[in-house]
Amino acid sequence: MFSKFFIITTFLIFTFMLWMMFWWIPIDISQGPVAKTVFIHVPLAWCSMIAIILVAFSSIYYLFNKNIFWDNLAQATAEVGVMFGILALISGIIWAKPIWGVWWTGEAKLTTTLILILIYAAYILFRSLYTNSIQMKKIAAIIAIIGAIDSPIIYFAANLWQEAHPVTVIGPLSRKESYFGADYGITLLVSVIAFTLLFIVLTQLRYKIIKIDNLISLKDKL
Amino acid sequence: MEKSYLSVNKISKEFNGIKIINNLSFEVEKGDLVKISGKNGSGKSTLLKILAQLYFYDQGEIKLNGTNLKASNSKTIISYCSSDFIFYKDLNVKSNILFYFGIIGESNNKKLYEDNKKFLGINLFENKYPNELSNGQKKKINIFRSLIPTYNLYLLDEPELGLDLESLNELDNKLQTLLKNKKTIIFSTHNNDSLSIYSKYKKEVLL
Amino acid sequence: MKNIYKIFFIIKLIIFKDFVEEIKSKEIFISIISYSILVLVVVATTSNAKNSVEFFSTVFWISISFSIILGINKSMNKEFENKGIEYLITSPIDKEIIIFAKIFTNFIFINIASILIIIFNNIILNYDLYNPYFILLIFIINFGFSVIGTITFLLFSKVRGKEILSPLLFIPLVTPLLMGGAVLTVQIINKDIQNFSWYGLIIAYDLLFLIIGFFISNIIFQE
Repeated sequence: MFSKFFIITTFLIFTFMLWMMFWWIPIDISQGPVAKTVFIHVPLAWCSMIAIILVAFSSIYYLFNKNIFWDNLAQATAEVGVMFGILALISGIIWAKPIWGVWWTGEAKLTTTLILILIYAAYILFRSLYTNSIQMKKIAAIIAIIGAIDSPIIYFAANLWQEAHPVTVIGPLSRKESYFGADYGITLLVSVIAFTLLFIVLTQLRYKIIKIDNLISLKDKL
Repeated sequence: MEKSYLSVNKISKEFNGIKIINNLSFEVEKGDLVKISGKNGSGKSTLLKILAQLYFYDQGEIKLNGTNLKASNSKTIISYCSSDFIFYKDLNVKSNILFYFGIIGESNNKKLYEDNKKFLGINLFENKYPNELSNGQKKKINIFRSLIPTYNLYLLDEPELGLDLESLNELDNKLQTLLKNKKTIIFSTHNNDSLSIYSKYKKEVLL
Repeated sequence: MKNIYKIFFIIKLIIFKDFVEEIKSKEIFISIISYSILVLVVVATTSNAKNSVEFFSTVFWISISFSIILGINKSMNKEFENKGIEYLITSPIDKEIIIFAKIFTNFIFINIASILIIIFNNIILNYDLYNPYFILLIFIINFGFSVIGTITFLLFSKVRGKEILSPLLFIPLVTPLLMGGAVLTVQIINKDIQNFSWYGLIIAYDLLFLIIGFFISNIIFQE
């Protein structure tokens, strides 16, 4: 019952956000309609950051607690988080080309996101290849924790690298004239809330599927 | 109540969700000869591997000489003779054995090897590489390194498999000597008649 | 004191064993060196941008990182292919010592191969790198490569896709080292080192993963 209520709420808020995005706020003068990608890009990036923290904490809890709930939660969060991360990158690229004139810059955030997606893709690939044993779950937990510990360091290194390689961008935004008023701000807030709820819903659903999957494979063996 | 030398208390081990060993408990005193018996797939090799610290047990407790077996450096040196063939393929037989003796802390591994190299006829193929050996000879490497140095606990997983008659006699004599010297031996076998020592077991663990 | 002496003896024994194996089979060196030469052949035949320092730096780090992946995989595979690692696991030595010994062995192999790779790169790409700063940089980055490479291989050692999975985790984890290596290579060649904080980052990163390796050693080896 709680799940259904949650899904309906998420759907409503998401619809409201889409209305705000497409009808309510005016089109940005300097950037054009593609500026509205920011309402998808920023929440997706935000959710994938939360995902990393959640996966790391679930993995740590699993290593100490050995309760399979945490392991299933880590797996569900990682999968949804990687998907959100890839979509954040794609939406960022779609926004970057008309605005900055390049598909990819050497920016720290982009590099960090790409590297973290690869680490957690390795995590998911590992989980799909291993046999269902306790040691493999522990190793998966270790990979997730290493990824989380690594993320600030990779961001710091990417920042240092950016200083050595200044990013040259061309395009409308490089002139730093942009319209970002209060209504953009409110829409951004609503979209962050909407995507966070979506993230929670998807993680919940994925968790349930993983749990049932484990039970089925256990039943097959008995 | 006197503490026994090895006490296994309600251990379980599962693989892929299936419990291979479930709630197993037994005690072993110093100098005992213990037989592990059961059908194929009942977990005999798994139990020996858990005692050899190749596997972690999921639940329960194992205490060896008072200390928990889960501690990474057990002061007791445990001998494990596996039913698999274990070697480094780019070292010859002599180097494989000398390396192992050095790792377990034998201070004079060369002398120990030279004094005993006639056991099981190892000296006849000591310079060969493991890929050039027959299965029986590979098994002899396992047995040699698990019986020659001084251990406190011997774990043998079907040691008689693949050996010729002469080697079986040598193995039997060696095990009898160890038993006389009050060493603790735990073995598993399907063939009770292959070695005479097998009939002298004091305890049996049924899986 | 006796304990430390014993630990050194065992590490020395494992490294010596790895050297004896390598002298017999020569697999690790042949794979590292031939792979890096092949990368250079492709670069030499396809590109004319030989005057750019950045280009040299990129090619150098590409050839080093991929050939090191191969080398470490071959080196660690030797322990697992005939279960020789069980010698080490069933003996009374600490698992941390096993990991440290393997890291050190890989470190030595990679360094020897790197010197040869530097010489080949110098010849084919016409850059002079007989520079103590550069050699020092290579050493500290290779230490990071060997730590991270050993750890990633061990994490995936029991899975059937380990040849593909361990590079997939290795490369993202060494990106800070690669970034530092690339920036510092350019600055060293131009004799204009601007930012010393890279050295600190690389060393701190190496030590971080060494500590992670020690923590996970018990979980990795026992099933």
